[in-house]
Formats: sequence, structure tokens, C-alpha cells
Amino acid sequence: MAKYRVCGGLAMAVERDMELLKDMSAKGWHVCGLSGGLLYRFEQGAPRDFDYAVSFVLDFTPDVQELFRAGGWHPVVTGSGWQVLRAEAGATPLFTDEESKEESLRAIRARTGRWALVWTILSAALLAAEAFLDAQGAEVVAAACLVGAVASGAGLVCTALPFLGYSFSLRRLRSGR
Amino acid sequence: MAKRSPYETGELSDSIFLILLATFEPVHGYRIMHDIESSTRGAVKVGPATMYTTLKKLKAAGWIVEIAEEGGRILYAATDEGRKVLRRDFARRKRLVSVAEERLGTASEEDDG
Repeated sequence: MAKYRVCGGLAMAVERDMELLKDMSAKGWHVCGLSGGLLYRFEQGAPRDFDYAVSFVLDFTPDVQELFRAGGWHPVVTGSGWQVLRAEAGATPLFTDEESKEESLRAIRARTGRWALVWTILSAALLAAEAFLDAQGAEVVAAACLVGAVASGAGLVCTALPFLGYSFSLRRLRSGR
Repeated sequence: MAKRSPYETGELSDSIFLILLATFEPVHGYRIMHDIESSTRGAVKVGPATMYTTLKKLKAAGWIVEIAEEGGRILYAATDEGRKVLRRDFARRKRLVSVAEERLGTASEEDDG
């Protein structure tokens, strides 16, 4: 048996999501996956007092994983360039100084921003191609360009929103000093 | 005006200072965390993400290198430049302590008097 909860977004609502995962663990439901990037999947177990946190390590090699494990943090859900980690409550936080936290946020924001730019250029190019080809009477190819533009528009949304989320988190971190 | 990075100024945070100091002998990343906590008797704890990020920055600054892999693990060691940076910052910290000792020592005498 599994339970599901909506993911608020690892860029936009990290603290709220980590509190959700902690509350669920306290009730005996432990996160084991993220379905479609939208739903946390939970499996049943004994109620436990866990802390959860997110890291954005691009090269999550065995050596890096050992570093995190040595600090008491174990990956429970991983994706391309991000990890949800779990530790016993009260473990030393993932980040123990603001500078490294800021550096990590800056790196993921830059990475996401580059992809958002790629999708923006691709969407614009496909829309321009669609308009041109439609004017030329090549309706089938124009329609294909439109479909492509919509698809790349989805890519743009999936990168631009996190980019804004990371920017907001970075601003909040800096203003908190 | 934006705050300058310790990697630009050489004025190290406590975490960076202790991590760089630990690499004066080749060491695994995970050992650095434990060594800092035990040598400071728990006063300073370095989280794994801070450790990872700091090691990357130190390597990018040319202050440490990855010198060997034992069974797939990586050892980190301070470069000559890294040792110079640490020694300069150590001297800076000692000057601060001297200034404080002078001032606080004077204040203590006044309190006693």
C-alpha cells in the first residue's frame, strides 16, 4: 500500500515540503519516490523522527555519497542534479554556514537558468518558423513547429519556474543576514 | 557594495579555515568532518553539504588538490598556495587576538582597580 502527496516544488517550497516529509514519517509513512515530479510516494513503516533536506549536487558520486552518509544523511529520492536526504532528527544540518548554502543555490540557479534560456530560444525559434511556414502555405510543417513550440514551452515552464524559485530563495537568504 | 568572497580576500570563515587546515596532511573528506568536530570538542560542526561545497571551492581556488584515490575514495591535500593563504589568515587571527588581549586585559585591570 502506498500514499501520495503533492510536491510543492523543491525550488519553490523546500521548507514546507521537508516539514511534510517529517510529519509523514512521524505517522509511519516514509517517502520512497517522486512520481512524475509531482507526487511524493510514501511506503508504510514504523513512526520515526526524521529530518529531511534537499541538496543539489550535480556529481553525486559514491565518494560524495559517503561524505553525506558520514554526516548522517542518506539519499531517499534522487533525480538529475538533486537529492532528497533523510537523517535521524537532530543530525548536523546539511549546511552549517550561509556561504556554502548560498553557493549551492547560486550553482543550481545558474544551471536551471541556462536551460531556461535554451528552451526560450527554442520556443521562440519554433514559433517564428511556424509563423513563416504558415504564411508560406506549408501548413503541415507549420503545425509540427507549433507542436514543437508547445513542447519546448513546457520545458521553459519547468525550468523558468524553478529558476524564479531559486532566485527567491537566494534573495531571502541574503536578506536574512 | 557586494560582500567579497573569502576566496578573493583570503579572510577565511571558521569552517573554511578548519577544513583547509585539515588538508595539511592528505585526508578523506568524510574524515575532515569528524576531525573538526572532535578537535573542537563539538564547538564546530561542518555539515556534509557545506563540506562538499567548500572542498569544491577550495579546489577551484587552487588551494587543495585531489592527490590519490584509495579504493575509489579521494584524498585532499593543501597546495603550497593553500598553505600560504592559511598561514596569512592565521597571522590575521593572531593579530586580532593580540588586540583583544591588550584591550580586554586593560579593561580587566580597571575592573579590578
